[in-house]
Amino acid sequence: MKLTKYQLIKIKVGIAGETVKFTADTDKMYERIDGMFVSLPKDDSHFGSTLELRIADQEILPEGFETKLLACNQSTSPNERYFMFDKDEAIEAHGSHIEGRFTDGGFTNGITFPYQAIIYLKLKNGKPEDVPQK
Amino acid sequence: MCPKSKEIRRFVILPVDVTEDGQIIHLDRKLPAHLLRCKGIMLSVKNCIDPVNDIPHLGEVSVLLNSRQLHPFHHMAGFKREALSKKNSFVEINEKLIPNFTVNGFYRDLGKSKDHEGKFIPYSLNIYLDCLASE
Repeated sequence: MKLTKYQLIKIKVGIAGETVKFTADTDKMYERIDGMFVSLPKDDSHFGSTLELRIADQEILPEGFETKLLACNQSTSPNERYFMFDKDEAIEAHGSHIEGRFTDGGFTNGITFPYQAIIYLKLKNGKPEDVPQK
Repeated sequence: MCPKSKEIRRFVILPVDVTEDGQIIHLDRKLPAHLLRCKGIMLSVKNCIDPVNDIPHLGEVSVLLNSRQLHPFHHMAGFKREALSKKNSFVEINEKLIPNFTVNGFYRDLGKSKDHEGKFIPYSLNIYLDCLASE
């Protein structure tokens, strides 16, 4: 049985302060989304950057939610970087439609444009109890 | 199929825009009626105020829940030069919310957001409430 998949959503940001709308679908082979993580090429790009996210018509992150709360610095091990949803907070995958809006924070000092923002989704099968929760 | 959960997570963001040295901004917002519980609170300064130093005492935040019946949070807000921390986490509150009641409080700037010439730098701060809501 397939247990885990890390799915990427890539967003191209052209200029400082740009808002990029995007859509995606979760992998149909997986039941739920256990966690997520946002990565930008430079940590300073997180200053003021926000991500609004809806999955299967459910609000996951409201407008104005800062990406830095969904990220960690490089001293955190990759497995611990994920913003985990609660055990009883079932966010259904199974090909759920994702709608999002990423807004760059406009911090330009040392930032090169265009850059690629990446959203990682941790998809799982099996009971949530079987998964060690962070 | 995932079992249908009765409670879902909802974030509430209270944005604070500080434009003057020493400014006091009052918080007064009615929360959505389907919110059941406030699990935690987190403060985050949005912009880069100082490219060199952290500012541990940037301002003072006080948050009252249930139309001033509860006062679970009184804290300093700080600015961290590093955009990212090792791990972000909310301060635990875990208080039941009464439907249609308000969240109140204040933010008081402590006059530490200044450039090298002593000129005030405006900034924005978000107060995040991590809540549980009924579906």
